[in-house]
Amino acid sequence: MSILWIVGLPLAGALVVLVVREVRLLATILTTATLVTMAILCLAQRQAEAMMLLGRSLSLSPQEAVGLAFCAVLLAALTLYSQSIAPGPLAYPLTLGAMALFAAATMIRNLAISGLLLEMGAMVAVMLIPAKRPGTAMTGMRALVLLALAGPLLLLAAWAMESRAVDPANALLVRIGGLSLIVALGIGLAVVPFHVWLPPIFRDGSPLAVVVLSVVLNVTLVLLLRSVTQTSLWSGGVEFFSTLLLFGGMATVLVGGGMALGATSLSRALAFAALADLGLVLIGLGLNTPSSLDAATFQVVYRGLGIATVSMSLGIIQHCLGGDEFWRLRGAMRRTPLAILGLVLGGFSLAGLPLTAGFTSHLLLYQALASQRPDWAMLVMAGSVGPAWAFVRCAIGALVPVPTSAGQREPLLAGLVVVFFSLLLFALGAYPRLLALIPWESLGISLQALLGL
Amino acid sequence: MRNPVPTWRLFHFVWTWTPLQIALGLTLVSALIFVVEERRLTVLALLLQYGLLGLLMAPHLYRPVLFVRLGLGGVICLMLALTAGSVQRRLGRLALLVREGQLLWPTNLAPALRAMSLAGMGAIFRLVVMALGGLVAYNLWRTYPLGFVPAEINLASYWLISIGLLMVLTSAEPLRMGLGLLTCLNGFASFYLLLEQGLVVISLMGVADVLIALGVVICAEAWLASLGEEEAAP
Repeated sequence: MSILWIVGLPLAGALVVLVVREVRLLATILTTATLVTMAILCLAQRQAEAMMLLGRSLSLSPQEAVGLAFCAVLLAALTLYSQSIAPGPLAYPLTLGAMALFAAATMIRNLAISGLLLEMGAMVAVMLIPAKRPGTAMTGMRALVLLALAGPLLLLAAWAMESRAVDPANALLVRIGGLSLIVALGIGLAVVPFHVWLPPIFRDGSPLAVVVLSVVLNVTLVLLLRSVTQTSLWSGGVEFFSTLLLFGGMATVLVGGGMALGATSLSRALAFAALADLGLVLIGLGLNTPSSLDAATFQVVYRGLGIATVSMSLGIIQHCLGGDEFWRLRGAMRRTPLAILGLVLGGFSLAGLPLTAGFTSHLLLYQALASQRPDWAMLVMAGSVGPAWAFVRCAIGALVPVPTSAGQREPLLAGLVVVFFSLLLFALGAYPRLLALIPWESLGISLQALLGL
Repeated sequence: MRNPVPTWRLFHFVWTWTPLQIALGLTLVSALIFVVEERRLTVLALLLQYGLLGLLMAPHLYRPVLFVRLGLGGVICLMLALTAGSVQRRLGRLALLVREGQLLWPTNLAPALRAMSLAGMGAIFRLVVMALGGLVAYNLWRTYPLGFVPAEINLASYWLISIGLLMVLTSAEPLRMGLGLLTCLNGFASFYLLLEQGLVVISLMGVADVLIALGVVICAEAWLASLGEEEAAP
């Protein structure tokens, strides 16, 4: 079966779902089935021969296949969850369309085309944000502007890198290529400019929008970064990138952690915890040692699970309590117990607290950083206090017994999806070797190769 | 009876413009997008911008590519024009309500009221910002000339990028931000298309522009719908 099915199937699915979107149950089933099939296709095509399309090479490495499959499964679960909480008429087709474009961007071995497909995927994903609620349109527009500006920068980087192959001595091309690539990836990962565009999405966006823009887009960008640093950089470029990633990661952890300390709502706590967690991923990539790269890979996966769990809980809480400010959470355990379970376990995992999945990857990253820069490791650990404190405050508030009036009931299907994710995070935290039980070898992937970014 | 100027003569007249004249035309048209408040007119100015940019780049591009880009520009402007009409009508109605003192909860509508007049700034402010954009573009052109791009195209692209970015930064509603973004991207495309002649890349750039316009339309319509919610709120 051709590798093109990985792109063609979600695109075709998006068109079909667009037609049947009014029948929400059917649309949910079709979207979930398409995403699960896409995940299976990714794993089946992980070692397929590269193919040529319009003179460009298309292929999928095992890491890329697993990364895309993870994103597809995550979105399939989010789709099931969204069945109970109205996601907006275009949410499912847009999700499938964005996923198809991100998959195409990952598979094509040409930075200019890959960058354009990534930009197009981001544009489609941004369309998930606007709703009738005040403020969502401007949040979407700001994200659209910044992500649209990242596209030309990627094109410029691709041109400079291609031209450098013809004229290797041209230092100007190196400067243009390096700077454009850094700024473009920084915008995409929400590190540039000053972490501004992503946090409002956690406040205004649906869980689907949050996961597509903060998990799927990040996974795609990290895979692109890996592909670029392996093939297209100039001499000394990898060291230059590693240093930048390290500094950018440190800044992100400290800003995210500091802002989380002062959070007054669950959405802000989640936004800054996710940002601080992204900083840890960047630190792991920047250290560029086998153990730090392994830990960064774990961190990408656990961060995705944590964000998905807390954003789903957030959606339920907003639906049932009419908002997510900390004062509204008082006594929430009685009205939304499943969401609070997800909030506690998902939040603690994002903060890296023990007995949750995030603890393993946080610990590995602290160790990797401490082996090279012990003082920085202390700073990063101090930065992680912010998210932990924010989620502990949420948990304490929710557990306080206060009399509550009757309100919206917690949707059962959405709650069950949250519980499944929460238990998964707990199981991976309590028994970290659970991942090794998955029969990677029978899938043709060695765990070492999977973890080796 | 008045004798209308035949269309072909108009085309012939425009076709004979020198690159410098076209660049000046682009400057004027982009300035109109920035200064004029009537949104339908700004979309018309964007359409003219696509046309003049095509004219400026005509000697350097394959004709089919040029016509496809012009066609996509037309599609983008058509999409934006429909939204511009509804935004203008809704804001006009709000302005009327404010004048007649019928708005009981004006603070709810603060974003819309700000957007009515370019973030509440006057014409002098807009002209000063535009002059700043011109100054930035001119200095960039003098300091960092792109050797591989003709001087007129280089100046036009710097001008479009700077004025587009300034428009994004000084706007308070999605449609005007979108017009600024598209102006900025036109500035980038005007020199990038001279570097990259691959049909796949050029086609994908066109599709990306259409998706961006679609995103702008969706955000602008959602913004209007949210104003409706606020109007209805007690």
